[in-house]
Amino acid sequence: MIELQNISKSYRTDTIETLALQHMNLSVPAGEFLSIMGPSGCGKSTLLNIMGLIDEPTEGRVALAGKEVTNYNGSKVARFRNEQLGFIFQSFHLINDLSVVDNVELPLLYRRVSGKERRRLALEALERVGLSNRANHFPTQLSGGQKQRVAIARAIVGRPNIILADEPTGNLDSHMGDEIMDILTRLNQELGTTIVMVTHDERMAKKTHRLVRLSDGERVS
Amino acid sequence: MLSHLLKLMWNKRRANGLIFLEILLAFVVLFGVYAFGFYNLDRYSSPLGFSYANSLGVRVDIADDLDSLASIELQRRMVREVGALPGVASVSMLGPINPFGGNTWRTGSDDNGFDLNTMMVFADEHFAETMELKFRQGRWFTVADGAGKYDPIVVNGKFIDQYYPDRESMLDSVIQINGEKKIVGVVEDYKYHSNFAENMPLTFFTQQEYNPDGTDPFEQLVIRAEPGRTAEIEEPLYNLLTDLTKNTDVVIWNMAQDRIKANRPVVIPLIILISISAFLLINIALGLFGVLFTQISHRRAEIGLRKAMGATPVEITTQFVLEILIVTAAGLLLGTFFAVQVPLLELLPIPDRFFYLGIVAAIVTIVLIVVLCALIPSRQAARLHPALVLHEE
Amino acid sequence: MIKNYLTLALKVLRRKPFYTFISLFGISFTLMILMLVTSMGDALFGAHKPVSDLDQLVYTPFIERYTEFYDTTYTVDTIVMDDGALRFDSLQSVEPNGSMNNSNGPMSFHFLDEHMRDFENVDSYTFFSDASHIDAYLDGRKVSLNTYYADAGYWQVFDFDFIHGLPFGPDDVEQGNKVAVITDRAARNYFGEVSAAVVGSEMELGSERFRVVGIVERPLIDDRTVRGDIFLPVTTIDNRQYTSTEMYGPFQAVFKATAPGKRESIKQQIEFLADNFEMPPESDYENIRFRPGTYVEIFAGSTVMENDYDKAKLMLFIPVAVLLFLFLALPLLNLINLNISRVYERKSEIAVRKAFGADSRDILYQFIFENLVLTFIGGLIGLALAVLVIKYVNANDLLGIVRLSFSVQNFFYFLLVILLFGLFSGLLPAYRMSRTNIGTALR
Repeated sequence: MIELQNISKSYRTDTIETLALQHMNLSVPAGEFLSIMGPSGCGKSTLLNIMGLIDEPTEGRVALAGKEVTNYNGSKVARFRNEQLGFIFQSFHLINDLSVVDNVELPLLYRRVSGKERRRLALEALERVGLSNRANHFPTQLSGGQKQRVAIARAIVGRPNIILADEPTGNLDSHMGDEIMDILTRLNQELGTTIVMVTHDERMAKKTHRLVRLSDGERVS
Repeated sequence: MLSHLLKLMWNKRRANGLIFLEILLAFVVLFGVYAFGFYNLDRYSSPLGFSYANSLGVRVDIADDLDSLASIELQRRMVREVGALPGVASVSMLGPINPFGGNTWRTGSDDNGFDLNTMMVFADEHFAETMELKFRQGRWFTVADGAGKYDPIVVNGKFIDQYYPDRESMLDSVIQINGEKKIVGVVEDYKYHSNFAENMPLTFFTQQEYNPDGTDPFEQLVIRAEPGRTAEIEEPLYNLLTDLTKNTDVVIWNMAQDRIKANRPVVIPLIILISISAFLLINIALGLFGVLFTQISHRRAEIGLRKAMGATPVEITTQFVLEILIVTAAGLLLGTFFAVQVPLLELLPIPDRFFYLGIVAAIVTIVLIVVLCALIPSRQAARLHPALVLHEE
Repeated sequence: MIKNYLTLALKVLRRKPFYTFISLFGISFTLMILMLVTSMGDALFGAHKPVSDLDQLVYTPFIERYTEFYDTTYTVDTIVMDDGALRFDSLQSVEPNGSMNNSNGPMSFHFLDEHMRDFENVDSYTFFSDASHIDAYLDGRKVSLNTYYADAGYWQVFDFDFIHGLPFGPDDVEQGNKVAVITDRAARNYFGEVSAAVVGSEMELGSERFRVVGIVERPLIDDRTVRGDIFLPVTTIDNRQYTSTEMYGPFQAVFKATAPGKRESIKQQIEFLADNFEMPPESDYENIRFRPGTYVEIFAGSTVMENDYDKAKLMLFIPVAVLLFLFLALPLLNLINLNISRVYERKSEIAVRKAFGADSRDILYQFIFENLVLTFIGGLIGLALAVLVIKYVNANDLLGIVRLSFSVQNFFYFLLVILLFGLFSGLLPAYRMSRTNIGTALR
């Protein structure tokens, strides 16, 4: 489902060139729940951004869902992200000005889906994360765990093949973290969604199919 | 601290460019409105110098085929008979230049190498009484003055102040204005165009000067009624004058209303300008407030950091206020540069001081608004707890 | 998609009442002022009855007599010849030194009658006097009547609305019939009613009696050529005025060209007349000129007191344009500023949208659309305010006789203005928003 070949990424400022990733190869088959671990600054967020087409590699090629996407341009990338990818962030990134259900509907806004259909799909996604009773609340009225569940609902509402999660439990206590992990695991099993998760937490990583460790921009396992 | 802030503002010059532009434009608008307003306020504050509240103006049409004796006799009769109407306190006749009428006659003369430029008014011997003019010196001219060697004139205070400031008394002096004339009196003020007219040298002449051969009679009257009886004398006045002149072309108007009409060309633009600028100021203040609020709330992390490093709330507040003041100062500086060109290049015929006053007033207004708009969000931000803001990131 | 954008925009506006209020305040007042300015411009310079053919009219309000003074200059060149002798070359030049004696005023009927009848490209024309004034007293009540003496052509040049009766015709004028056309206001003031019964009634004006033949609607515009309360045949004016052979008198001329483009030709014919005019030998002046102009030219000329109409138009309209520009630029800048500062606030929202598949164009459209919704709401409030102000101004005669109105055409201009305002104030901020980089915003 995800093929990364010989990926390198460097950030250049005026004087120094920092290498974030070096000749990385990674392949994630469909339906896998993969976790990535490593110390701060080892390049795991960069790796996830490259998989999510948020960042471009300096070198190497990326293929997602069987398509070569390295050279996709602006609107093509947007289209692809919309259909194939779902994102979950450490700090949730919900839009505070929109109600919970409106937040969840967001990815569908950029497809040709009728308003009624959008609402139905969003409520269904909220149902799946157990928050349908909070549909008309606003993000500021929710706890951290609830916010992350809304974020997951948003990630799955468009039925993407891949979900990319950047430390989804990082801002939560262990009890809430477990809840989030349960939901992700269930998604993976019931819908067969491929999930790549970056985490700091060894305990969470153990619940996934496979663990990849990074250090200084290189795979160590 | 200041140099640190200057650097900070310079680095953010793109973000601050719009605020700079806004301040600049606001300054230009305010400068213009203030200068215009102060100039007119100054003129309004100088007195008219005559009474108008109970007065009527009248224009009659005296037949052109009357000979000069008959026309003078007709004028005398008009004054006599109008004066006898019940309710009339005083009446006089005057030439083509009437109060609030909008006409100006000027004459320039060379008085022994001295350039005398004066406005002209022609009136009969009752004029000072009818208009209730106040005298600084001397008296109004009388019929007897006409028999003297020199024609008599009365000048206004400004005439003396401008042309003979050092002379103790100009009374009975003979000066050159369209020939030799003797000054018999000096009135305090006679600003007859409107409240907003410039107080300028002015000279009253007799009918003799207006029309030496008597073929061109005075065709206007000023009638002061007893208080409260202005309206009721209009009809008898009209009937009397149409009878006397044998002509229906008799126009009567109320001088108090005429004053309001004469002031209108300044009052209406002034009201429009002031209300539009007030709206612009409120608009700018609100906008600036909103912009600063977002900008400052955006820098909560920076505030936390600064506080963690030991900045006091007062220092934080000062910093934000100073920052925006730097941008403001830049806008005002450029604005002032443009504004001072107006008096320096003498682009407009208005005394310089009103432009400088306008600049100062515009700067004060804008700085006040900016400080006010910056103070509230800054103080709110300065009260934040450092741990709280840092944690958020 | 539009519906989504709309509901979304409204939601965002509702969630931030403070910013919405600030923006709406600025937009609505600015658009209100703009609205009033257009309405005023239309009232002043638009074609309204009875001056429907404003763009065909050439006004000739006065004649100017003048004598220019010349400086005579002798230039003497001294040339030294080869043999040492001197030679002198002298040159005499006469140039106007800029000073002149002049005098101007409206014209006599005789003068117009003699010189201004046979112009080409004229559809119709009129000579009339607007200078008279009659006060009629009825039972202690004063009825002031601005009195116009006009020829029959007056009713062709100006298309008054006749409520009752008809204008007076060439026969009435020729025979000096004592007939009158009055305005509805004059009828109400004098007769106490505006009805068909008034036509045929007599009015006592001074010592003469006039029979009313027509009642017209009083024009609600500030144009001195149609501001009369009562219109009488030119032949009923004081006979001395009518027969006077002086140049000056109380009359002026208005010509209606056959087409707007022919106005220039009429002006040229009038100027030709002035250039080739033989002054009577006893006159104090050497030359005459008229300053014929279109309505806008005459207006500009008399407002800024400038006889060169092209210059007058610049002197009048440039300051007005600058003022208008400043009064528009400030609120616009303010709005842009506010919008841009909110770009930062909404960075993460934009990044999230992008992460879920919005491309830059979607974001651009969204924010421009949001802004348009805002401007339209502001515009509607501004429209309501403008209508209120116009009502107030009209009810209290704040602009004298002039009535501000709100035409369909104005409304479309207004929509256009709203659209432009929305686009201008939204474009830069929206562009900046759409360029937001997802990676950094979501860190």
